[in-house]
Amino acid sequence: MNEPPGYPIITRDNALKLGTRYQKQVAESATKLRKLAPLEDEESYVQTRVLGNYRFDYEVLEGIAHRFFVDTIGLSKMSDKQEMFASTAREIIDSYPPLVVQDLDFWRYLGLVTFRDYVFEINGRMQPGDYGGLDSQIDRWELIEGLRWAFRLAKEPNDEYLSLIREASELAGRTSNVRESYISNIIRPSWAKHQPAARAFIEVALEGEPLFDDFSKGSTKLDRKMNLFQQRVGESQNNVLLPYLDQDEAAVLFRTLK
Amino acid sequence: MAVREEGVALRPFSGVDALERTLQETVHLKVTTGVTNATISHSQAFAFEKDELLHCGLHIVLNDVEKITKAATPLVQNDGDIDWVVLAEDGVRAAVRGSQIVKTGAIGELTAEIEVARAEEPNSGLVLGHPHASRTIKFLLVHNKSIDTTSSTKPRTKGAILGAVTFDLLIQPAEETLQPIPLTDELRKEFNIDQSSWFFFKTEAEDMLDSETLDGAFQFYVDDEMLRKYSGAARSIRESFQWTLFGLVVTNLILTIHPLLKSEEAADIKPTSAINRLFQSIYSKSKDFREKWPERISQSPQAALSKALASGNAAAKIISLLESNVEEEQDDHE
Repeated sequence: MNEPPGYPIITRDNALKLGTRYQKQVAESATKLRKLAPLEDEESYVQTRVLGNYRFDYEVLEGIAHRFFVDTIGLSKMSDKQEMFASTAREIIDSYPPLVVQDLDFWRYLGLVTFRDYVFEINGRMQPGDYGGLDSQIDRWELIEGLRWAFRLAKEPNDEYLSLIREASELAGRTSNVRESYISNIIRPSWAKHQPAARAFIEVALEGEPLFDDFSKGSTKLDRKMNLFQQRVGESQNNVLLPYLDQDEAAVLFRTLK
Repeated sequence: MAVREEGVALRPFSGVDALERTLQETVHLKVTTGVTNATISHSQAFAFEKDELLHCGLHIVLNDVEKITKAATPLVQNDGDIDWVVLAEDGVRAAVRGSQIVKTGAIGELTAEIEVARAEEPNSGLVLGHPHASRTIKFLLVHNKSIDTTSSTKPRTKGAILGAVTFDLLIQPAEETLQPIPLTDELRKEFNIDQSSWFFFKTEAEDMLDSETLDGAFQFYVDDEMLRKYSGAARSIRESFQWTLFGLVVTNLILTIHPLLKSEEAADIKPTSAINRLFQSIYSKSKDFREKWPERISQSPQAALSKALASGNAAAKIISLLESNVEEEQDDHE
């Protein structure tokens, strides 16, 4: 690596300026845009954050992004692309240290430069809440959703936990609400940051008589069975130190709560 | 002992109160940076410059290991059933928002000092290995196995928490001010507010009490033309405008927070939250309001608002603004 020290970031203020220009592009287009045209001065919004001597390997990121865009060609369902991005986020987690991966400004860079087309395609717009133009509701930024989905569930060798809810739902003939289930049961709850506990939750929720969520119009909270189970698991963290348990031990505890 | 809102005791084991008291009295966190050494106690916080956070030294200090052991062992069936754990958890501004078990061991191996991170070296791990967000360090005693027991007041599950102390490590907020965001026609459309609206207070209830930054807790927007003209206005006009904005923000804050304070989350407002810092600053002249602002707002939002708007020398400043004359304003323009 011959790169100088540091890694690429876009600050919150610059993200808002850049994102607003992209959103303007959407608003001013006479037809529905399929892709955004990169701004010529985009690079002027990007900065380098230097912490110690850490040098960022840009080729690795380019490789990860290339694989993602090639692998998603032909995927028409947005939820499939989101699931694919979770795998990509796992590659990013594995490729760079916490110094980089934990920096929200790095994810603003990814959202507005490297994976801009993905963020735009999924949302059909470039609003501040989609890419991190504001500091609020971080877990709703498109890429952070994928990052936490990956961090909490991905496990070698085949990342099967990333897709278990979808697969079980399809098997049961349910095709909608899968993404909402991941968001409300895995991505947002604070207890799920303990990875073995998050995987154990999925394992127990889907074994035997699987629990699914119904978010359809007219449904009530009682129809979100997986979510009700998730809330019981969340309460247990007041009394049990979940990160102290491995996945099997957490599963034993959660079975008593199901 | 911590108690849930519905009255159910957390950690309902016989002797847990005495153990938690002992931990709070005897377990501390020693913080070392390039310029300072400090020791903080349970539920206290230490604020770092961002650069210092990555290189700080952290040591759990146990003033009386024997006392801790004596308070803990009556809770369990066998003396060896307890482990200690040092856990680090990310604050809300970490991208991953994860947790990291830093160290763990058997209670019989407890020593007077546990090294969590060594000063001057870059700290490592998912939570300690970055300087981008605040974090919480916890020292816990946990039941280390699952056993059969007929006693309902003894732990039987692996991981059951017997006692815990927590320490918050914060990032010193950079010059934090209430900075309005320009309200443009596009934003009015997005917020679905009237085109003549010149002010908008935006917040998401779920983030408000939790966020470590003010703009994560709420954003307030002011007409973009007003903000442009503000910088060229006379000093007394600028000050009047600032008072108007301050009044609007505080009013909106209290109106929004009042119902939230009745929720479960409100019971645990962290010292790290920006809203906590803001109200402590607003009520800095009143010890009672500064320390008990959630209770005071919950009891009477009107009285809390009145108190907030009376902060500092508000009345004297407003009178001086009313007395300011035209000549002064013209001088300011030049």
